[in-house]
Amino acid sequence: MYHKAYGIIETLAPLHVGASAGEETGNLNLIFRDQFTQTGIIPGSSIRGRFRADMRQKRQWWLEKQLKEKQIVIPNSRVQTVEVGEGEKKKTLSRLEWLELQAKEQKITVPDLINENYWYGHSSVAGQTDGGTTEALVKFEYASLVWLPVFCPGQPIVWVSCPRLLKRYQQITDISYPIPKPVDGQYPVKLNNHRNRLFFNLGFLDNLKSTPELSAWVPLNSRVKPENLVVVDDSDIATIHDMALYRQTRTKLEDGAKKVENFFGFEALPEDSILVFPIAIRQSVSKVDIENKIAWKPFKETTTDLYLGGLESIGCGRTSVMLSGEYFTATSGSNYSQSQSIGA
Amino acid sequence: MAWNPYGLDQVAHRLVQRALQIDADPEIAGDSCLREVYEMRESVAYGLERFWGEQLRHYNKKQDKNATYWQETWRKLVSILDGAGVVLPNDENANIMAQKLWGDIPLNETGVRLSHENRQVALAVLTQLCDCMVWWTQRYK
Repeated sequence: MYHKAYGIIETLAPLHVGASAGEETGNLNLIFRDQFTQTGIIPGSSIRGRFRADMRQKRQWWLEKQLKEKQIVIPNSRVQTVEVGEGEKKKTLSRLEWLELQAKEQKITVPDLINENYWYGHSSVAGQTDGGTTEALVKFEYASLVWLPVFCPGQPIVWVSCPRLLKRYQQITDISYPIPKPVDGQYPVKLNNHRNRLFFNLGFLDNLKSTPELSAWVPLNSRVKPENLVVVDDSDIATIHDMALYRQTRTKLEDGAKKVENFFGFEALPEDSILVFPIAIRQSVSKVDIENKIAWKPFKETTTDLYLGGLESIGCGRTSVMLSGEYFTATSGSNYSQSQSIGA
Repeated sequence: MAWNPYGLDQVAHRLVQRALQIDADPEIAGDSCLREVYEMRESVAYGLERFWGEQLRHYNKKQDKNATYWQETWRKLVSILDGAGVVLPNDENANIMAQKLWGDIPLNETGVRLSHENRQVALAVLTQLCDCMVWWTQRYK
């Protein structure tokens, strides 16, 4: 059995999770898409990788601190690899491996609280049965869109969703409202100034039906406060999604001259997109860290800025991640009970 | 049906094919107009009025091929937006056109003038149309 939790991702910059340059995608690096709605997703493995990397860094800092306290001389932090042993036994270790080795000699054990291998499963090790892998205590599923901002002349942005995406959001967050969907060709909208038509670059929507309850479908503690919402058919979301993506054409210049070697493009989810992903935490994990039982607490706060996906060196990937749900409701105060009662 | 696509890619493809016809037509004066679309895409940054006005400059310079291409593109835009319920002026008389574009006089007998909002919509659609035309032009160049 599992404790239930979920995460809300809000993109603070364009978010690219998918193919990168050089892969077999032609010269447009596409983002990963959900096969039914054709809308952007972040695979669970990418989310897990980010959480793991975050905790590994915490463990490294902790090890350094412990060794320093034991008067061990630690290599400069810019040093990536350390050579140990002499003669034939000489080998090169990564900085972290070196720290682990020193800690072992000093009989220092890393607390589970900051041990990424404990929470997210141990990666395989050569020479061990089954590679020494373990089952993760915390499991992540893919993140799907809840609301996607689209340029709309006159508004100037509306956040779009469709019944299928809202259904997933409902299943994850236990929101109790019926799923808004277009009925008789009438599209539910919540607009600052109600209009009969919404124009986009490639088409327009008419037959709009004012539906104020739509605001209940925006995560409560979200930084983004969409006031212009529209729910379109599952079959229309793909077209609108393609129109909404952030696309950039880039060039690779030759090394010796300012001459274009090749062109390539990439797409990304635009900033202010809202995504949701479920988290399952093994029942054996305590919700509250009492009596030395260990609780999963990946960040100091439950909302944090995280980089996800690729191309972060050219301005992509900054997001705000909010953890919520049953598991977190029990561990902390009012912040979480609020997000639990979305729509109440 | 509530989602109504403008069908811009199809319109753009036809316009680019039309440019080839214009270029092949010995009756129309001027140099080749196929590559005018790059100028069109550039000019949308300056607004609808300048986009429409470019045809006058080409006629004055005896570049009828270019002028025809700009004019036909404008006509297509007018008909696309007409289908979306946005009225754009399309008069032969340059003075009347100018007044309608600037919102000085009504667009038609209903008394409606070109609003700021509709101008924004038209510009967004025109930008996208030009992007589509650039794509097709690349294929025929």
